[in-house]
Amino acid sequence: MAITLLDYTSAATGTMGYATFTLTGMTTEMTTTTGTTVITSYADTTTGQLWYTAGDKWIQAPAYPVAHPYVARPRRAAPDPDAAARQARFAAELRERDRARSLAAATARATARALLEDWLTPAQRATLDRGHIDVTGSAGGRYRIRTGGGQAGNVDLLDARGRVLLSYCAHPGARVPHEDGFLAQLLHLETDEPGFVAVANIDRDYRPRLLAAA
Amino acid sequence: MTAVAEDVTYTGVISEMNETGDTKIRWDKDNPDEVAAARAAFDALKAKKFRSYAMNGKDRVIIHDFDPDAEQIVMAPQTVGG
Repeated sequence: MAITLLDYTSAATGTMGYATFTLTGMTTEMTTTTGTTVITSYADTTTGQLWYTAGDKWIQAPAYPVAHPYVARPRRAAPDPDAAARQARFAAELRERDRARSLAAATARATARALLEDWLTPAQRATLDRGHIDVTGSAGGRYRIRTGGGQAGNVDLLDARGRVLLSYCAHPGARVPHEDGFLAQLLHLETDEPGFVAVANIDRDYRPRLLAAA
Repeated sequence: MTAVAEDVTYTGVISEMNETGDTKIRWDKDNPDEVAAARAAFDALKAKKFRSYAMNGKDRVIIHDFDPDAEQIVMAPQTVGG
């Protein structure tokens, strides 16, 4: 029967460690973290409790036959000579993936920009490079779609003097390049302004501007 | 022997907005197979709640059914509040 103990104190060195010993009768050979020694063991046949000596100490072993819960310490993995090369390959793959993703995104935006320009009037096309597209909604509202950033909160409602009254946030519900988003906003406003306004969220800061414009 | 150049013509194009910018679906209104394929693509996108617009001259109009005589159709994903 082999038993593993934790918190074994070596009588010889006083160091703590864990040990495995095999019961061979009253005299037991014990292998410890610090070497091999001979110990004497004693088993209480009534309770199954096991005791053993180490030097001049009596130590209580785990109750027999319950297996001791402690396990051997995990060994440190041996150094992998290919690890550095593998990490370098992985880093190169990540860089290539990022490069391909950037290229795809740039191509998508160029494609979307061409479609947007195709559908703009000459006047709208002229303002595109200045960062906006002016649109008249189907119900007569005047809007400015800001094209310098993204598709979120970029649709401004203008008053008769061109001042921003409030901003709307509504855009295609699928992932598309910004230029596609601007075109979708423009077409929705031109063909169904009430529908666009109904679905859009409104910039929370609009009220102060409304009051200032009044 | 007379060489005949392959002349691929089309009269209309659907631009389906997507992550790549857009995907083009072209058809020749005199080619029933191409018209049917374009109509099927249009209907499939409408089933996904895409909004469809056609360019008629200078006017941009919303359409609800495929028009084989249209020159340009744009299909945009449904608008949602941001």
